[in-house]
Amino acid sequence: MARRDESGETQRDRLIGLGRRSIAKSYYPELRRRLDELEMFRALLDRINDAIFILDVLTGDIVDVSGSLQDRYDCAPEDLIGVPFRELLPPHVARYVNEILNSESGVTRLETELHCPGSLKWTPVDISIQIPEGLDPPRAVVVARDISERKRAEEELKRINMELEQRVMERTRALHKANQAKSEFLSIVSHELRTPLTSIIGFAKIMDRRLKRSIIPEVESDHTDLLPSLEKMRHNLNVVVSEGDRLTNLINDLLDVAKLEAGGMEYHTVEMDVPELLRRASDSVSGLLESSGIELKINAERDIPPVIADRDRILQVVINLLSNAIKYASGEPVELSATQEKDGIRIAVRDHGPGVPEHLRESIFDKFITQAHAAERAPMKGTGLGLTICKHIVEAHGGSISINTPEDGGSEFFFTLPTQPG
Amino acid sequence: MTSYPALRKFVAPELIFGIGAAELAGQHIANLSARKVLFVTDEGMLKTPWPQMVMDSLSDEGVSYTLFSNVTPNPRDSEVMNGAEVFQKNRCEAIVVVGGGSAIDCAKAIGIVNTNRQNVLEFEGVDMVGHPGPPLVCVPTTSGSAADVSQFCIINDTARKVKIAIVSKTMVPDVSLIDPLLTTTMSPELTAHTGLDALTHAVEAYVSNANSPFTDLHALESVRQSATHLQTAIEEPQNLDARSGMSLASTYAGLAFSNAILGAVHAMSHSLGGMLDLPHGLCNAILLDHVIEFNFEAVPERYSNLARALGADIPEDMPVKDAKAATLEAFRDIKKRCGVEVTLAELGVGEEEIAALAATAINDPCMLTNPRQAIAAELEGVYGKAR
Repeated sequence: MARRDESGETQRDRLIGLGRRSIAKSYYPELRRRLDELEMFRALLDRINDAIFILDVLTGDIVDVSGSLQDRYDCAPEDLIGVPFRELLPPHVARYVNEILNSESGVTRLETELHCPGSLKWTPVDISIQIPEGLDPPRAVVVARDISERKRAEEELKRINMELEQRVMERTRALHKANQAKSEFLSIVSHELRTPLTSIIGFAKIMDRRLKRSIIPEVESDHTDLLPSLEKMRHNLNVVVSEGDRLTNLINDLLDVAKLEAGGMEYHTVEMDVPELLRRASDSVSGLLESSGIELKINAERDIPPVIADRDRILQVVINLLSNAIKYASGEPVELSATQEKDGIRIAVRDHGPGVPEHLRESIFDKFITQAHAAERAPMKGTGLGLTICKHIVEAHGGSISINTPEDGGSEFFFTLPTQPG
Repeated sequence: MTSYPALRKFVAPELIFGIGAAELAGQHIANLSARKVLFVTDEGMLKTPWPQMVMDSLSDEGVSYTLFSNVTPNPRDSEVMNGAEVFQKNRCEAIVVVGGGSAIDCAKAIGIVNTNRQNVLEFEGVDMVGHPGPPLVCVPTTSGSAADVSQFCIINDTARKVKIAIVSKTMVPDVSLIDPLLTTTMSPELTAHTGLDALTHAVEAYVSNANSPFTDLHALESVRQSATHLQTAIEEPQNLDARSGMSLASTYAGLAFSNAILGAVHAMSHSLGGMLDLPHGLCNAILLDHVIEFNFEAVPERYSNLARALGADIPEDMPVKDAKAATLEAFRDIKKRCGVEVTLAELGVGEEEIAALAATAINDPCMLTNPRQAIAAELEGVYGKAR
C-alpha cells in the first residue's frame, strides 16, 4: 500500500492532500502567469518605436497608451488617458476621426502629424487605425509611427532632384548655345571659304581660257620656245581648278553633316519611281564611268512600286554609293540593283574591289572614322563624310543602311526604303 | 502509538447554508466578476422551480447564462466534452450548477476540460489537474453526494465501461449554496438513497486511516443528524426541519470524506456502478453493513462510536464481539427504516460477475484509506454476502 512513486510520495499522500501538487483551488498561479505575459508584452510595446493608443470607439477617447511616447512626442502616457484622440491631431484631420471610428473598413491609414495637447512640437507620423471585431466594449487600436527621418530623407531627395534638374537645364542651355555657335561657325566658315574659293576657281578658269584662246595662239607663231612653259601653266591651272572643286565638295559635305546633326535638314517628299531613280543616278556618274573605264550594270526588278521620298536626297545617296564603288572597283564592273522585299525596297551597289577591312565594317558609317581610315581602303580622293550623310538621309526616311561582304570579294552597300514611310 | 494528531490537510469551499441560499447565486457570480455563465442542470430538474429561481437571481445581477441540461445520471465523458464546447462557444466565464451529484460532477469536469484543453479522461487519478476550472457555484438539490463540497468527480468512461475518479483539491467548488428548500422535491426513494449515501460517507471517513480531528467532528455529527432526520425526511418530504438536518448531514459528511477519503464500500460501489450502471446511493446502502462486518475488528472503537451516534447503546467495556453485533444491528436497522432491503442479486448482479467486480474494486483509490487492508478474494467474499 505504501508504494512510492519517483517523486517519493505515495498515492495515499496525494489522495489525502499531502502530495506536492496538492493545492486548493487557486487562480493566483494562472493569474500570475497571465500577468507576467501581459507585463512582458507591455514592456515590449514600450520599447518599440511606435506609439500605440487604444481608443473607446464610441467616444473617441484614449483608454490606454503604450510604446514610445515620452521620447518621441514628449508626452507622459498617464496624461493622455481620457483625452479625446482628435486633440492630438491637426484640425483638418481631427474632424474626420469620428467618421473613421464609425467606418466599415477594417484598417485606415493616413499620413499626418501628431502632437501632445499643449505642446507646440508636431511630429510627422504614419497612422493606422484598426477596429478589431468582437470586442465589447468596441475598441480601436491606433499605431502611430514617427516618420521624421523618412520625411527628412524625402526632402533631401527632392532638393537634390531640383538641383540636378537645374543643372541639366543649365547644361542644356549651354549645349544649345554651343550647337548654335557651331552651326553659325560652320555656315560662316563655309561661306567665307566658298566665296574666295569661287574666285580662285573662277579666275583659274578664266586664266586657262585666256591662255588657250589668246595667248597660246599668239605665242605659237612668234615664240615657239615659250610654248612648253605655257602648257605647264595650263596644266597647273587645271590642278588648281580640280583641287578647288574637291574643296568645294568637302565644304558642301561638311555643311550637310552640320545641318543633319542640327536637325536642320528639310525633306521634300514626293512619289518617286525607283527605276527612274537608278537611271538618273547612272547618268550622274556617267562621266566618272567613262574616265575610269568601269562598266555599270543596272538591274531593277519589274513592277517595283514607287516610294515616298525626297528625290534629290535619295539620288544623293545612290550617287555617293556609286562613286565609292567606282573608286574602289579595281577595273571590275559595278552593279546597281533594286528589289522589292517584305519590308520595303532594297537598293544595292555591288563592287568587286578589295572590300572593306573587317575592323572598319561596323564604324564605316560614322563620321571622321571613315575619314581617318579612308586612306586604308585605297589611296583615292574623297571627303569621306559621304557615308555618314547617307546614313542620316536613309534613317530620316525610316529606312536603314548597311554593308555586306560577299564571299567572292568586294563589297555590297545597300539600303532599304519603306514603301509607306514610317 | 502517539497521542498527537498526524499531519493532515482540510479543504472546504465557501459555504452558505440555509433557506434562501440558492437565491444568492447571482450575487456570488457577480462578486466573482463573471458576466456570462454556463448554467448546468438536468432535464428532470427543469421540471422543478429551482433552476428558474437561480436563473432569476442571475438576471437580477445582470449576469447572462447559457443553459446546458444534457446531463444524465452517472455523467458520461461525451456529455462533459459537449458541455465544454458550449461553454467555449458562448464565451462563458463561470459555471453555475443546480442539481444532484451527477450534474455537479459534470459541471466540475466541464470546467477543467475548458481551462486545460484536454479530454476529460486524461484527468483520471489523483492530482492530475493542471489548472483549476473557472469559478464554480454549486446549488445542490439532493442531500447525499456532497459533490458540492468534495474534491471528487466521478465520470462514466463509456468506452471502457468504468467510472473514473478525478481527485484533486482544485476540484473543490468555489461556493456552495446549500438550500434545504431545494431538497423538498426529492422523492422518498431518492431521499432514502441519498441519505444512506451521506451516512456511508460519514462512516467511511470516520474509520478511514486518514481521519483527523477535523473530519471526525464532521463525520460523527453527520451520523447524528442522519439518525435524527433521515426517516422523517423520507416520510414528510416538505418537513424543512428534517430536510435541513439531512442537508447538514450531507454537508458534514462531505467535508469529512473529501479530506479523510473513503473506504471499501465506495471502492466496491464504484465497481458496481461502472459495470452495471446501478444507482450509487443504493449500492452504498446495500454494501455498508457487509463492509462494516469485514472491517470491524480493524477499528472496533471507531465503529462503536458511529453506532452510538446512531443511538445504539454500546458501553465502553462491551466485548468486541458484542459491540460488533450491536453496531451491525444499528446500521441494519436504519437501512430497514429507510426501506432498503434489496440485495445485489435482486439488482441483477450474477455470481459469475463477482470476481471481475472485486478485481476492479481492489484497485480503486478508496481502498488506500480503508481501515483494513484487503485482497481481491476477501472483497469477493463481501460481494457474495451482499448478494
